[in-house]
Amino acid sequence: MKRVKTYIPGLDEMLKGGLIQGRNILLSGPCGSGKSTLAMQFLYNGVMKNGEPGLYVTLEEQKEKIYQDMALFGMDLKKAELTKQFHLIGGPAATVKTYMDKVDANMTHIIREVEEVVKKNKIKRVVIDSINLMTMLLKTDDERRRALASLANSLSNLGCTSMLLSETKENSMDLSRYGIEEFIVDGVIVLYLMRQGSIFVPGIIVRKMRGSDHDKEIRVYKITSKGIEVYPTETSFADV
Amino acid sequence: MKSLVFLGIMLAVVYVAVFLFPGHVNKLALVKSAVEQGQFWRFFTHPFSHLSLTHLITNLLAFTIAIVLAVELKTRFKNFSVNYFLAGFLAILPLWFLLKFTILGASAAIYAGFGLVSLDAPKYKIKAWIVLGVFLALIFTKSAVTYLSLGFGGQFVVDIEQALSHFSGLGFGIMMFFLFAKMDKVSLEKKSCTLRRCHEKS
Repeated sequence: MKRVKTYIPGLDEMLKGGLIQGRNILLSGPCGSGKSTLAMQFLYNGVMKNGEPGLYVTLEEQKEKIYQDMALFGMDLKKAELTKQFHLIGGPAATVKTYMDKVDANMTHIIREVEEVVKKNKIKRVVIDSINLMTMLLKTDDERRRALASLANSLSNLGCTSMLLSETKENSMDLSRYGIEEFIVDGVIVLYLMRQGSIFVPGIIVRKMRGSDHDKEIRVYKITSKGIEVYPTETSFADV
Repeated sequence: MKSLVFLGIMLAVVYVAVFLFPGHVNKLALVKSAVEQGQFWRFFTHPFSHLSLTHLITNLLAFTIAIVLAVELKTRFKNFSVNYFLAGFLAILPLWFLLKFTILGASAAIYAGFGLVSLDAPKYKIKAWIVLGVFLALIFTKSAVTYLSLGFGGQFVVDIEQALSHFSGLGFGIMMFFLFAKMDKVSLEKKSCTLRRCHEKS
């Protein structure tokens, strides 16, 4: 099985060489844990170090804001965009919802659009930020499960390695918001913010990785000026 | 489905009611001399008028078949009704301006309904050209038989005029099928551009 390196310091070691090509990974964690940064590093590194076209689907922020935020970690997304290999689509969830209502679009159309962009630009790495907001556009858990399964299958069939971001509740050990996401994907990486006295220590664990061995302990990571850095030999002793 | 059945019942009631109205043919049919006198409403009223009880019953039967096919093929109510009403007025216009023969009855609209549903036949794994072939045979058989038995004469002219108006309706329905398909495609493309549009806006 071909490995897709994330080029995130320490993470590839935890993953025993990287993610498996064409698989969907759920990246979950609470607010402020660095999910978007980690996912953007995965995409940006793919474009800049490996020449692999990447697609970032956002329902969180405006493009300019994302570009500014990521520039703080040394990721020049404008430059990446100029290579025609980095693509960003979407906008704040409220804007997307308003437009969807206007043209009577539904989740099927959104998934179809992602597929179209992937095919057209021969995308290899995809990030969906976030599936919470994407599935918030749906009413029932059944609809959410179907839409997620459809999206995950579609991305896999197109040969994309994808990271689906999911925000979990503060101080929660849940793997996802609705408790269904982890059963649909091939792998789960969880970011924790663990309380140690008066501070929060970030921890990362690979909870599931179908078809691959992986590190099974919670490791420490830091959000540095270069983005996320994982310390694959350091064990966190925080009380979680 | 309910809407299509309701439309069918309502139109059948209207056709029967108009038929029971004395002198409806003289007042509603598309007749050259009347149009020349300024009775332009006839362009819109002729589909509701039927010459005889046989004409009315034949059209009601054909209309029922068109409705049943539309229900079976899950044709959208909006598409069927727009096609039906537009065809009733528009399908025969080119023919009428060319030949100026008297026109009445809903058959052009009914054949437009057949044209619209014919191309949906592949939904049931039936080739569209086979269905269209059947309708073309239905349209031209009578005039062909008249020509073979009586030759080129008055009856043949009447039959071929009727066949041409049916053919015109069928063609209009086919054209509308492609128009609706194009509109659906445009609408789908618009719907499948949500994220890119939002990205441009942001």
